[in-house]
Amino acid sequence: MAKDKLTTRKIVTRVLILTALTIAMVWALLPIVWMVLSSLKTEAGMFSMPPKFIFKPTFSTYAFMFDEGNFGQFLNNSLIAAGSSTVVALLLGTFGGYALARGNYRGKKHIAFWIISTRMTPIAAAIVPLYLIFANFHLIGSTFGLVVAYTTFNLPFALWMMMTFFAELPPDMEHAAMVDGATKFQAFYRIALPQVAPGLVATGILCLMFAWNDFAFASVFTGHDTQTIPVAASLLVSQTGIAWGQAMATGTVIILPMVIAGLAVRKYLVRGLSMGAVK
Amino acid sequence: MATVSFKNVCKNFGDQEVVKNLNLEIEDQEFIVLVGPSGCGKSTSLRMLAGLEEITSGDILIGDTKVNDMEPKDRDIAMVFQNYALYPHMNVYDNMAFGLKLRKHSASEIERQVNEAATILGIEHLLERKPKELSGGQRQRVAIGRAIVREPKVFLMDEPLSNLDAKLRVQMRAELAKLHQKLKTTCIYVTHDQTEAMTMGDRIVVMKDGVVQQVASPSELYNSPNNIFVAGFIGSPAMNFIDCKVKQHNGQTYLVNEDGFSYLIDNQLADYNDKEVVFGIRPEDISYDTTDTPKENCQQVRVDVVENLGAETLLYVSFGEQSVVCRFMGAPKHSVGNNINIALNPNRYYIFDKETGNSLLK
Ligand SMILES: Nc1ncnc2c1ncn2[C@@H]1O[C@H](COP(=O)(O)OP(=O)(O)O)[C@@H](O)[C@H]1O
Ligand SMILES: [Mg+2]
Repeated sequence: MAKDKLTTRKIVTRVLILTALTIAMVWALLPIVWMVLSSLKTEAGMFSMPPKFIFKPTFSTYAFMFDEGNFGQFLNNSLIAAGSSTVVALLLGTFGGYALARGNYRGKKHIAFWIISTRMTPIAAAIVPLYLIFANFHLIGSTFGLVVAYTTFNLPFALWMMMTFFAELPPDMEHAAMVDGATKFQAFYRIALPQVAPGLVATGILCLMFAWNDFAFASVFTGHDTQTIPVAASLLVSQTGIAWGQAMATGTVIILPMVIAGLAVRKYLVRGLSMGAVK
Repeated sequence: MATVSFKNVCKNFGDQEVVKNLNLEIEDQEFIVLVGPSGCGKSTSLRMLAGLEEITSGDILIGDTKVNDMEPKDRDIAMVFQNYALYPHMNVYDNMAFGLKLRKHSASEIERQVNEAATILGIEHLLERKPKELSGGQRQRVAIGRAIVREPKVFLMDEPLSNLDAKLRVQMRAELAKLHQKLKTTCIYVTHDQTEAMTMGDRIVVMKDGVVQQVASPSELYNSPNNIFVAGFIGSPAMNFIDCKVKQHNGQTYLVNEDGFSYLIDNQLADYNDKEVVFGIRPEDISYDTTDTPKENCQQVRVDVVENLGAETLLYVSFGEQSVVCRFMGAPKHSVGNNINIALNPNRYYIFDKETGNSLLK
């Protein structure tokens, strides 16, 4: 009897959980699916009621954007800006984070906190001063300027993350390596770094996402030739109307790389982000 | 192989003095054990020798070379860590080969050395495994293998057995001793376990609060401890201590106290008449056979607890406020609540100054 009751309760719980998960999934995925499907329809097909889920896809919108417009250029700008700032942030963040985690000097905690506090600044508050500085150095309208802007936010983040990962690593293994004959750098590079690789990947993805998705900086700091995809997408909404087909296709191009990257490194992402949590 | 010297070595962490004026001459091929309660500065001393911790003042020499400012990698030592500190992303072979690769040995040479060390430790079949696929005892062997493969001048071991279960610990203790007889490399071994120290060390350094209490062979430590700390630390169960006063009576010297304790000593302790001292006697120097013992060295006690260990029996007894542990061979002959007479060996006792804790028998 008791056993039966328990089983019933278990089933009910199961069903409730699955229902909740299904709702959450539809909630999250429906707009994306709708967007991707729409980008593969003609403008007329897009608004047919009821919406069609089975149809012959057309890549005409994509073809138009790449062939007739500057979309390839924008995609390139986005890749360069997000990619470079991520590489710079990871490189410096890894060294800096290691130094903060392992170094032994006065005021270490204060320095670490000051660094992460710069990441807490709202972007809106940073834009105006950055604009003035960039104007002085003639960086407005250049992709390089955008890389600098992203790095000002990504570097403290990466540094803080990497510091946390290194700090959680017991230092004995590096000590063992040094006694074994390694220099400090070899101990860092060959022993500590491989062990925080999941954290490094997770940090990289988050940096990439911040820069890739950014609209605020890009809309202020880029010019006609250097605009990134999110800026290009916003320009599709004009006074004369909305280019729905292109908007859908652009949205798809913005989302797709991040989804693929996220899926590809999912294992590391989960391990990296929960590195401190499970021990 | 080499000698090691600590000369007036001090270490402070901020205001905290962790190692105070350490002086130690370690001979070539010696197996020396640093022992003391947790937090007394053993690891710090070892890590200063390894170059992992800076020296606040003093000198450390390996052979004739002063190594104060030398990088760990140049000191030609090997260290086994308490938690093994194996490289988790490398398999056992690469763990052991790491130091050899850094020293640019040829691939065939590395293979020969790793295989040789693996054979000595019986881990040839584990070479392809990652550390996480090994049991605690196997990890331990790999950690030792990583140390011996390089044939360093000195081995440092920081509580290498403390993460093993009791049975394995006893087994590894013997194996390490055998390994040392075979390799003859100078070895400095840190432990908080006096049994490990007593069984493994040629000489033992007893430390407390960063200060060396005594450096001596196991039997000397056991038989003539410098002070009350060493006396209580070495030996298990620990030595019994009884607070008492020195009383001269009819030309003889007695130790007495208010619990009715009285013990005749052959030592005069003239300066100490009427002064407070601490009397010490080891559990194994007490027996229940009182026939040959002068009656001044017997004591009537009540049995509180009986522990039968098979080959021997521990008897926890008391008189007045004073508790005493006795260790007898064989099965228990008494039960809880009995009043019995115990004989305190008239020749094997210790007396310490109540204030300084120093032995008065030297
Ligand atoms: N890096 C450090 N910073 C500050 N204090 C330390 C550090 N390492 C050890 N100590 C302190 O030094 C004392 C001795 O430590 P340790 O040598 O590890 O003791 P043991 O190995 O004998 O248990 C302890 O009180 C410990 O708290
Ligand atoms: Mg220690």
